[in-house]
Amino acid sequence: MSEKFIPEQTVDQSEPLVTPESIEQDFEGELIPSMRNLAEAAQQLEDAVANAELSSVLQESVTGMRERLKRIAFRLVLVHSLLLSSSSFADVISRRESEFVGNDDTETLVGPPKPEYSAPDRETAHLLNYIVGRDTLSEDEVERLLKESWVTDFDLPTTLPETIGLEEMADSVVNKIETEEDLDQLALEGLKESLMGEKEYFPRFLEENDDLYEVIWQLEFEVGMPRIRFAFIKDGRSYYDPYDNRIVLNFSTTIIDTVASFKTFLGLSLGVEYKHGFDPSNILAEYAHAQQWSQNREGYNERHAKDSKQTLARADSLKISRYDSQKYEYGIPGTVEHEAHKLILPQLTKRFGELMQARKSSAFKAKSQ
Amino acid sequence: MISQNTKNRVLANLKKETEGAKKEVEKLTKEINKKTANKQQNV
Repeated sequence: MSEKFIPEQTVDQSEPLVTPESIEQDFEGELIPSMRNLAEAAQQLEDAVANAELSSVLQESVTGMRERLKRIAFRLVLVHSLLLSSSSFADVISRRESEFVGNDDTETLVGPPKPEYSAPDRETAHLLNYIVGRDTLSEDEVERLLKESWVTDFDLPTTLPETIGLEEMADSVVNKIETEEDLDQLALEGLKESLMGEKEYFPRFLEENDDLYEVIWQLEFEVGMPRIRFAFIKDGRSYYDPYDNRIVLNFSTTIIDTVASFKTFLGLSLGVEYKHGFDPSNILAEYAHAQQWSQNREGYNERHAKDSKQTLARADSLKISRYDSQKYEYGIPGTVEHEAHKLILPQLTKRFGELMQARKSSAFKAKSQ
Repeated sequence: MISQNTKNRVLANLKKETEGAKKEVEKLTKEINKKTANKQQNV
């Protein structure tokens, strides 16, 4: 067996760096006990004040003490956030990202090389691999998606230049809020900070899922290799565009927070723990359209054009949006929407479940042999 | 890059402040309780 090369440590021992492990220790050993102490003190103070008639001097002392406790709690929160956002947290991200670069040694350690699927459209391959935790969103993609999410969430004008920087975009949000809501300067500054902070917590990568990798690629091939794109869509709805066989998935309903625990103390948020996951329902619904199109392109285009006319006429006569009008077609047999969502989607959902189950069973068999 | 030394200093300061605040809260609550007890006796 060849000896493994271990690179020399270049860290200065007199100033050891913060590591993920040391953060965990600090959190358990220092921050949580301090928070507990603070919470106990606050409770003790509130219990004493509850049934007391305070003189103005004592009332002033209580108010001052409450402010002091809040300030300390706020600093605890800040230190916690700073530790998490420190370089060691970035190390964790870069370590996770480097797993995707492809290291031959790692491959031989974990087993035979995994199959690599690809699509003629490189972005589709990249996004499908992102969904299954094998690829990472680039910083440019993160910024584009984040800016889109602010445009939809804060109803910003879509005329903003595409080249606008993230910080300028955050300023646009703050300016808009400033004119519409009664917030003081401190709150507005906090809003900008929190918007900029969203970049750090954006789900750049998901948990790797080999079963999903096999199944999603298999379905992608079966329904005619549609292009895949992500966007933040105002009405929250993913869609299929038959003119270039393209599925646009609404990011916020496709990549979901599977766990989000908010810890609060003295009214301040102590941190949010997100675990991001993939919800297959959007892609399956749009795969239903891709399947229709790939099986009979001309027929699909004809029916789609006919349905679209009906959608517009209905929207006009009922004075509803085009989106609401199209929903009617889910219940009208013979329409593209009815066939896709009421007939094909249940089959695709069933197939997805069966393929996932088959992958799990074969993995279980392989393990127990 | 945050070093362990910088971070330890920040954490130690916070710990000291929290403990200090806790002691002062104890003093303050004792005073409040004393005054409340006195008032009840006088009633």
